[in-house]
Amino acid sequence: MKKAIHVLEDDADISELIAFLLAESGYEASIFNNIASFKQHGGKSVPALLIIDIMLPDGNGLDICNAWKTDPATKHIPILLMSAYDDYRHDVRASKANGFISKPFDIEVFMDEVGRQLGA
Amino acid sequence: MSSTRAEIDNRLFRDLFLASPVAGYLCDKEGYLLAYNDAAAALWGRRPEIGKEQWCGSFAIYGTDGQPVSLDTCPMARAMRGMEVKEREEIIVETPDGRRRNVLVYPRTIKNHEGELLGAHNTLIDITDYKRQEEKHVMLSEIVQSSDDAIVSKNLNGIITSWNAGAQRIFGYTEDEIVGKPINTLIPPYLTSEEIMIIGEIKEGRKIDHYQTIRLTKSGKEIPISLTISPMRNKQGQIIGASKIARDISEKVQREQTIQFHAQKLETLHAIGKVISEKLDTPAIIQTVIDSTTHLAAANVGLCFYRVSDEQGNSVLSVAATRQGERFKESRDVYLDDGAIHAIFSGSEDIVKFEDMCKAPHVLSLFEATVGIKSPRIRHCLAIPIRSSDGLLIGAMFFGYTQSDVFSTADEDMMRSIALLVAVTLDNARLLEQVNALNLKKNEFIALASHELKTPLTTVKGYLQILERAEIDRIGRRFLTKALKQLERINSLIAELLDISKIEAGKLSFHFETFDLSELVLDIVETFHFSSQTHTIFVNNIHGDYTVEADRQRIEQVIINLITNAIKYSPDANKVTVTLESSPAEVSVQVIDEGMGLSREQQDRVFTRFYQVEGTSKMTGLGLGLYLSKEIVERHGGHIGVNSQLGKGSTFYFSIPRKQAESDL
Repeated sequence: MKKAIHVLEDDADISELIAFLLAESGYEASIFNNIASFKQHGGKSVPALLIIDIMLPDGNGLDICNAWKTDPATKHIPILLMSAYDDYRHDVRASKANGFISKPFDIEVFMDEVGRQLGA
Repeated sequence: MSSTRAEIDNRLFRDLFLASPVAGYLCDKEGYLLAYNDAAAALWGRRPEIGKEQWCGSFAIYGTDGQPVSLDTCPMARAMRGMEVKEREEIIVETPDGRRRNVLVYPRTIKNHEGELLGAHNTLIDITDYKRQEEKHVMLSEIVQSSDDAIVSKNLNGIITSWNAGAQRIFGYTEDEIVGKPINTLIPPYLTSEEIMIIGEIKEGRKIDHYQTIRLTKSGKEIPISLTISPMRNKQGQIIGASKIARDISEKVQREQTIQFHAQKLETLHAIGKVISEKLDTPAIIQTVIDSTTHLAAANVGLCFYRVSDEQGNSVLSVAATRQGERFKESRDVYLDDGAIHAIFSGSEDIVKFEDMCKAPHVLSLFEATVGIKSPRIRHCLAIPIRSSDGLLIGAMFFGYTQSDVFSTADEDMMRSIALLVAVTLDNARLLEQVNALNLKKNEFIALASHELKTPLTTVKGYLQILERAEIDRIGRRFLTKALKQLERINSLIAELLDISKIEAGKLSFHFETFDLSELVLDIVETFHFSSQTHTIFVNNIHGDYTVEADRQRIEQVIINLITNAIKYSPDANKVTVTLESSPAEVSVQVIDEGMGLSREQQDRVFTRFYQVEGTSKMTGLGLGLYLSKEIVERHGGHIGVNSQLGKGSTFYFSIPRKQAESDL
């Protein structure tokens, strides 16, 4: 069975790129463009990995990360945070997120990180 | 042979006549010259022929009015014709060489017993020297009398012997009142020893010049005077007294005091101007201004109300206050309706004077609101509006006085000038706020723009990397690699711009951690091994303790920047050397290239913003790398520098302390 990965990213092109890369490696990616739709539809299935962009049109990705990491039902799920703001690296380090990807990223580094989080 | 008595007498008279020092001559009954003596010849300057010339031997004659007199109407001619001749008539005799003498003439006719005219004699008294002396004397005494200065003489016993009109005007005594009195009459009791000194000097024959002292007038007033005292001598050269010239210098002294006062004011204005031009901290400027202005205005309390924007950008009314030259409260915000201040200046454009504060409770309340019960009792107040260049009331200064005498002399022009300076300060503060606000917007914009630019960069990089994995021909691969390299350049340029905007905003943040600098250097050098086709990077002295507390990413940025520069500016070389050094207190990194090197002037400027070495058009970039590196190293409490020689390569180095000071963490 394919591993499910939820991606919370507002830019359509970037989410398309990520969906392509994940599908190529045999994952099943669900894309959400904002926090609202993620909250509405994202809870229907529990993913193996959550990838979240920090700057979202309706909120901060760090808040979603913290919410999932404090919920006993979801806190075991690895979370990767992404941003074009390199400065978030330090906020991510202080959070319970499992990793940080700085944009623009190298696709090999990105896929390595995904694989590492999924224990592949 | 014996002579008769008459013969002897005749001889004696003749001799007396000829040898007399007084000029004289004789005429026959027709008026022709019969005889004249040497004195007459000397007076005339000629020797007229006997029996040929009539009336007189003069070359020419003038009246005392300077009009020519013909010889026919000369006193002698008139006397012999029986016309009237004045006793002691004065004429002017001119010699052939043009010399003129003033002469008194005494013509006398000689008649026999029958009254028949036998002849005449004339005596000429030369009074030229006497007349000149007299004129000189009149002139001198006129000078003395008309002088504005007091001219006084005294004898060696200190008794006044003469007194001019100037002396009367300055000291108040008339000549009759003071001549014969001791000079001490004019000297204040505490200065009597001065006179002993002066007399001593005079007796020694010395002069005293422009000696400034104090003298007493008749009315008992003490006035400042300048004295010049000279010894007076008699014809034998003995000192018999002294002449004194005294000048009243009250006005001069007052002028000097005024000048000094103005100079002090100018100095204050200058100091205020200096503070305004050198400081940007508005409350500090206003406090300095009100402190010095209150002192200058000799006020007991000074207040300066002004509007500035607070950190939230709201306009607030602030006040700076000073009490008797001592600031007693820091500048602070006041919760006052500035309608009260507006009302004071509503009817007037200019300074408002409140002679009686009892009648101006609204003004008094300003003092009470600011200074409170500490305020001395303010009886008078000077209020000066501060208007912006467009005429808006943007503040006001209030000077409170407990006494009226200083209040009335306060220099309003000065206050106006200072109010103008304060207005400039407040205008500047407003401009600065606007500039800061704009700068903040600019930095926010750069942050936003760089984020937005990175989003397409992310996808383009992804697309190119996906293409790179596909099977494409050699040419396609070549340009794909180039495209990816250009992408990295765009990315680093955006990062630099973002860093600069952060430095300007003071928001370049650091995250310190403890790590091994040598490991970091090795990691970086390894990536250069992959990316640089032209240069090999050698690392020296890698063994040792290079543990530091620093921002790993920022230090990495610095090292990458130095190595990238070393490669970029040594196109003809093939190696770059990195040397590490450590001491108990700090660690340092040197990056040594074999490139073109830098001149002294280039070395001075290389760390400044947007600086690029000339003649390196192919060396692209924003010229921000070293500026950023310097900022990063200095924020670590470290030092960055360069040693270089043109044509022989450069060594860039930096050192950072092992531990960060507490306040930086």
